[in-house]
Amino acid sequence: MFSFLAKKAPPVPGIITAHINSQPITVDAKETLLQAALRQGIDFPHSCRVGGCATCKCRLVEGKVKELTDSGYLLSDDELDQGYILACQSVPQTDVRIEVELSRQQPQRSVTGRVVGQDRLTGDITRLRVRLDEALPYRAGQFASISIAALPGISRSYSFATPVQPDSQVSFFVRKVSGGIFSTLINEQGVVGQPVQVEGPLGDFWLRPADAPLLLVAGGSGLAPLLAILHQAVATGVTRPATLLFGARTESDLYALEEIGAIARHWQGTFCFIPVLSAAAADAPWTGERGLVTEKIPALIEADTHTYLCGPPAMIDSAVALLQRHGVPRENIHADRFVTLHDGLAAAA
Amino acid sequence: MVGERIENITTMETLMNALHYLKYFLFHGVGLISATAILAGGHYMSGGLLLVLLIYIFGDAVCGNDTSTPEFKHPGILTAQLWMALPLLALIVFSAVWSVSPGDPLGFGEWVTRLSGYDVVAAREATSFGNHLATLILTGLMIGMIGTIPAHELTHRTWDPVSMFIGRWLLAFSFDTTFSIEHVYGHHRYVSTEDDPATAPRGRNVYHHIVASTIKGNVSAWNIETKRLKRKDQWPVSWHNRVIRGHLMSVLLVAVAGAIGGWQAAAYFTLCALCGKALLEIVNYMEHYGMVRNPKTPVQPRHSWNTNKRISSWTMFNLTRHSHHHAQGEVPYQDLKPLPEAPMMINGYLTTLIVALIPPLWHRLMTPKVLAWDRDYATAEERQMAARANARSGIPLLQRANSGAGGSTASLASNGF
Repeated sequence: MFSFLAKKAPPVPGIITAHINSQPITVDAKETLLQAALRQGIDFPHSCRVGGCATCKCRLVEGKVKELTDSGYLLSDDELDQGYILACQSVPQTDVRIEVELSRQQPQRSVTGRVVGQDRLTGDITRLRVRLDEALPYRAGQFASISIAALPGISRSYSFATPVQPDSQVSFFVRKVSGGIFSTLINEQGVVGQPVQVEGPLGDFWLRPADAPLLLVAGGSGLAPLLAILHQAVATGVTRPATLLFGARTESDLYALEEIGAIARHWQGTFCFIPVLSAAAADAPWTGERGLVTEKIPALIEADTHTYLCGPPAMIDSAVALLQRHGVPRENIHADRFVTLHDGLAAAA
Repeated sequence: MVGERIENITTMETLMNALHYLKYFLFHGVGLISATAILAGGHYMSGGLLLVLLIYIFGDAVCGNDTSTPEFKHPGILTAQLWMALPLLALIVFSAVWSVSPGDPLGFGEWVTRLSGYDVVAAREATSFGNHLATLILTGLMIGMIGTIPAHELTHRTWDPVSMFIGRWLLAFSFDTTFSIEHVYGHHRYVSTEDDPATAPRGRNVYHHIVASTIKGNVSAWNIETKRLKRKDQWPVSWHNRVIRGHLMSVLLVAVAGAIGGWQAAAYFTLCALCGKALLEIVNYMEHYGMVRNPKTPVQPRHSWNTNKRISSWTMFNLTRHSHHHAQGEVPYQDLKPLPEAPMMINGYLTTLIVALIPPLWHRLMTPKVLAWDRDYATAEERQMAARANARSGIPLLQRANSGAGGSTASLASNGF
């Protein structure tokens, strides 16, 4: 009731929260509402992004924003009276509440595109690059369901391997599964130019804001969502200490090492990359870590470590059990199990 | 040992970082070459024009692409580089106006002669008509490149009054202050649709576009501005109107040229300014020719012709990375991505510009590109819009493509999407 008396200290820059239709998102310093919403996977209506079209108009219910440009001429008297603003021209100065008619009630949708690249990463992993016809906002770490014209009626789930790109290009790491019709096609035949359909975003695997140290554990093609998360974190200036454990069978199964090197160079804090080989020959010239990637976890965690795991189910299950045994609370363990169709059938049987 | 290596790497990195700032000074270098050539008079004027053309056309032909997007820790330096365009352009245009003025206004010639030991007044007196014509073209080119290009970047920064002020004065040199309104609030909203004055429909030639886009752009800016004033309860015809104020800035520049060198100097400057304005419209023509979009769908990188040619990118503050610029108009130039898979322009900016000036050559080179765009980039909806644009284009090759288009649409539909 006397909330106006309880004057809060000015918020620390960089940790402003905006509620978009009650969904909280964080807003970085100097970021507009639209940029923050899109970065965090909200399908906020927008078009020109420079204050010319009013597609991103929304109602400021609470809080203060700085408007970058004179937007009044695009809005009606009524709208101005009701507190409408343009999300692309509004930089929140305090925590804000925003009401907006989201273009679709379901946050998930289907976008067409076509394959623009197939890059071999290892003997059995191919990066599939798709240019979408329109933007599909998602959070770094989430996945999508993909289908391709050559295999009508078939769709498979893959994680986005990059944060949202300005050219609406998305990438997926497709590991060849023996007997897998989709993954075999992508790994063994040219599909550049083929129409595809991408449905998403799906899943709740993304980086939760916090200051705790990070341990990210990837197995095989499970590196994809973790790379997306790390790139996004670099772009937003995350300073948390981070360790990336990457498990593979032999040295030739390691990939994206240059990309990881670039992340390490730009990381604003300590960053440690540890590749672990499980099946390197005893006489291989490998001087790095050997064994199962999960065996390396205990030495790297503290009680307050937040962990993000992605890879085959066996790896995830043993890692989760191990982390819990070492006292890491369940809410600080985030996992994305890469289940193949075969795993799913086996579990059902 | 290891410590030493790391130190070396750090030195290398510092050097590389410095080079990334330095490369954008190529812009100022080209401006200074032009000013010097104009003051040196005689054949130096034509030589200067030729040299600038060569730097771009030859440079883009041999220096390849720049697809790096380095991180800049001091964006303030980059902004200062943009601001420096205003004194630089003022110097170039003053030199041009001085070169056609009777006598020695402000004693400028005598001062330069004393400073350099080179008699610029005598050189000017010996300058032929042809060389004056070359200076007219060179000055028009510089008004576009040293004026409009940084102004474009600056007037996107609607939240920064200093950048807006400098940007609008730069635009005043080409009678185009309305660009700061129409470009941001009109062009970026309607780009690649029929409602955008700056997007040339298929089949239009560049000379038609220069006139049509200039007129429609001014009308559009007037409409946007009067709407803004109405909302603020201010009269359309008043001091508050930025269209009127902007054109008065240009009138003032013409008057200054007149005060310096009489009516012929004012007329000469007017011609230079019109050249500069025409240059902008040619660039608009190159950047979006023939593209289509449903205005209800957000702009994507496929809605601009992009190029990553090194010399054009460095001397034009990445205007070349146009695909990303239109997809995210709020991104400052140094952070624009090269998007090598976007639709590509014929070549670097000046090379493409010269092709555009020769309509038969332009259509010969662009028609296949436009058809490839329909095939490789357009959505199903855009392909239908493209078919209508082809029918209206008057270009037989485009019209013939329509008769085959039905088949390809059907085959796509049979793919299930």
